[in-house]
Amino acid sequence: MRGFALLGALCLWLACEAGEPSREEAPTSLRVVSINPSLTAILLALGAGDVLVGIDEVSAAQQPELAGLPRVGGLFNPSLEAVVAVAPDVVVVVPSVEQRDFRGRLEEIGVRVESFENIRLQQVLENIARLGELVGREAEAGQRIEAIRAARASAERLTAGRSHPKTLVILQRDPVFVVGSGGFIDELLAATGARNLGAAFGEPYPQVAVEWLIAAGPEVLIDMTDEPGDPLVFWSRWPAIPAVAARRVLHLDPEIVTLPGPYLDRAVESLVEALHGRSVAMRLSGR
Amino acid sequence: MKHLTARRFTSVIAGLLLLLLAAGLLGLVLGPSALSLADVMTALSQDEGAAADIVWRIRVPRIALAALVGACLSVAGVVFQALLRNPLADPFILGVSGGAALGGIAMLSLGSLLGLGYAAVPPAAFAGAVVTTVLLYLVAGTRGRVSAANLLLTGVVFNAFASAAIVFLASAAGLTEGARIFLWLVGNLSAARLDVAPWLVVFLLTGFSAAVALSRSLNVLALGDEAAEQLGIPVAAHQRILLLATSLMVGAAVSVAGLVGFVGLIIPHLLRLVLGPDHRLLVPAAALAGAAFLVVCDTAARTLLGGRELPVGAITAIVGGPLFLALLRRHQLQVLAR
Amino acid sequence: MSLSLRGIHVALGERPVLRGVDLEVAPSEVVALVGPNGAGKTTLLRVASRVLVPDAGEVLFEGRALERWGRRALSRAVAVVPQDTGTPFPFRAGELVVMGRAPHQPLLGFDRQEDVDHAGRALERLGIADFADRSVFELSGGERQLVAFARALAQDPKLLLLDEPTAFLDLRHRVRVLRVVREFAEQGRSALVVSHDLNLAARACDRLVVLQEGVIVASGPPEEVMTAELLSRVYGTEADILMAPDGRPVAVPKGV
Repeated sequence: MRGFALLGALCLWLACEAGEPSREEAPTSLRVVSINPSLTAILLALGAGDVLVGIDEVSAAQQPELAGLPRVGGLFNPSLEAVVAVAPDVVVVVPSVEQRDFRGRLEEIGVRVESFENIRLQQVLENIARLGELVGREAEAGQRIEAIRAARASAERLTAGRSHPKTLVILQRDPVFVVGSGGFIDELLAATGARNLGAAFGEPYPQVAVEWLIAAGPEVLIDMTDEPGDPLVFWSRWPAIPAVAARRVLHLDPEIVTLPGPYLDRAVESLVEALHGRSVAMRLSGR
Repeated sequence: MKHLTARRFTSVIAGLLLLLLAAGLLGLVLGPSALSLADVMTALSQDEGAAADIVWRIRVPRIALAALVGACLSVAGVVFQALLRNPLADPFILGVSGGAALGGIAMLSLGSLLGLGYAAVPPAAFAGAVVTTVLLYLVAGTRGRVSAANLLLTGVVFNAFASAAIVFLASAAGLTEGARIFLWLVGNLSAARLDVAPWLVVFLLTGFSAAVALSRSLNVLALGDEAAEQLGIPVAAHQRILLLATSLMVGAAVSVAGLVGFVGLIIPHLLRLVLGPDHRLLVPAAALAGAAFLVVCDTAARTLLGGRELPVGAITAIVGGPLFLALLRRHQLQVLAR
Repeated sequence: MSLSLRGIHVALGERPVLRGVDLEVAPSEVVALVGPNGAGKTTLLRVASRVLVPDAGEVLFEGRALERWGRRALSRAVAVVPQDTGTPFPFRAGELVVMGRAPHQPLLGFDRQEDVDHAGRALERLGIADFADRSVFELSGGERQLVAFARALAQDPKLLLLDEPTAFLDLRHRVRVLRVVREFAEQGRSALVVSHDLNLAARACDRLVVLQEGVIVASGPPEEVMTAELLSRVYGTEADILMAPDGRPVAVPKGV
């Protein structure tokens, strides 16, 4: 089930349109449908979970407390009827190719749609701000944004003088997808003192051959896949990989690290710990 | 009078063996990471280091598996074409591949629910192949003899059912599973592990031995079931053995690599054009040529797009598709001329 | 007695095709089986070659029931020249003829010189030795028929079962085929020929057997069997029966 978190991340590299933020004041009895787990997570983090009247399947799987809410379909095949049935005031979407069409149809029947791009870190922070405005939780939103910014700045400072290990973040095996350049995870990696080998490819989430991976020689492998068992066992098939030899193959929680959501400060912490060890990570939070 | 002599046999087989070796060498040397020939040669004598890992733990297994899968599919293709009396029959027609694909894809879609990783997929696919073979034989065999028409119809129905089930599973799947299902349907060796190789070898040898042993029957069956019977061939028994043998080979190949198309269709047909239809030569030739062909295709799949990998089925389709059209046209012209 | 069919009953589905047929073929005998379309001639041939198992009756070859013969042993003794001679693969004529040696060959292995020689001789007997290296795809229907006959000869059988062996042949080759059949019989072997060509059958055979609606209505030397009355009764055709110089009958249909 955790693999579904990757769906949120992986759909980001599909082409998308810019959305126009709205400046309306949010009424107190606002009804919101969310078709994206990162947006759902942000709303919950802002304490505004009660505005949700409908969510997608992946959000439901990730947030057990929302289990009672009506479902409106999957990420790529949401149901127009299900959305309309819960009479939302606004539907929040991340504009992937599939949802662009859905958005058009919603707007045709007069449902208000708010679009949130979440590829770059700055966009994620803006999403938190906009959602905060939408549900009248600007203060909470501000806190979260500040926490993330501070964590990032702190990490940059802490890790500036340290060694920057060659790193790869594995999103999927068979075939191998890694974190490339231009996405928020790449930015976090840069901030936490990792040299992201995947940035050699110009795209955010490229597919790579294992041969290339071995030749690139990563010193740290962060395996985010949901295959059972210790990822070190899998990667030990190629003992020449420096990360394998040094036993620096780590598994991190994808809901924290790959979700473009409200707790990217924890993602920063996770990454710092993975890359530089527990003691450095503790200095991060004890700032 | 020209006929198949030991001498001709040996020279053709030797030539194809050399071709296979050349293909293997090509596969060792080419790949997405830049290794020079010298690097490869040193890596061959080493056990450690990135180059050795690449050569021994990626390229060599891929070459071995591609060769085994290619051989399985080609030999199965030859035998199916003889059993169905149709030089353009494909081993996937018979439904065994549909069953194997369904088994594999079911495991791909639902495996994570059961806590099973990718390693469970080949056995599941093979189980699908076995079940389908049994069902196929029960349904299509009447009074012991399996008629070509019955086989064909039953196979088409099985495949249609399997396709429907696969479409359903694919629609309900998430992004990750969906991508993997797509790769499976196209045919892909990147996920295959060398530990399936022993099984593949066993099934290939079993099927291959049966086909070689019954090569003369394969020839005589071209005359028709009755004529073959009258020439002393126990047609029903031989058909059963050959069907089982080829189902094993197809099942094993699909379990490991998914539905790699065109190999089982093109290689037998091309070889027949060049070497003649005598199965005593065609069967072993198909094994070697099919192996070489798939090794080259897989090397291309690994290398063409740099860091990215194409599924090998995409390459066999690009090569095989136009070739198939050309052969089909030639075949139709021949039929018209008769 | 080479071949003995006794009390053969065959029904295909609901329809009775053979209704109590007795037929014998002796060594050195050529028996021609004639009759109108749908009489059951090909079915009888299939019963004789064990392809079809009759609903009732028995088939004996050289005194032994067909079921008691091993499949290969029977194939070494009985050969069939079928009507349908198509193959889906472009074998050479010579290769097809050598397939006739299958009952004599072991499971595995290349063809032995003796097999190749048998095939070569069979091709020569039928005057098609120059076909040997030609692909059957290039041959006409009649030429393929000759190849099928050569294959049956290569089998070196004691009994030949021929189903319309002259259907697509020109006059020269018809004569050749019938001469080969006669020579075959003269070696002490036997032949059962199904033919639509009444006159040619009459010339080639020792005994003419007429089958109508699954029952034998006449059997005997051609000059006795082939009468205007029989032709009228069986074929519904009026014909004059003339005598060839060697005493064999020739039917000339009236009103054409």
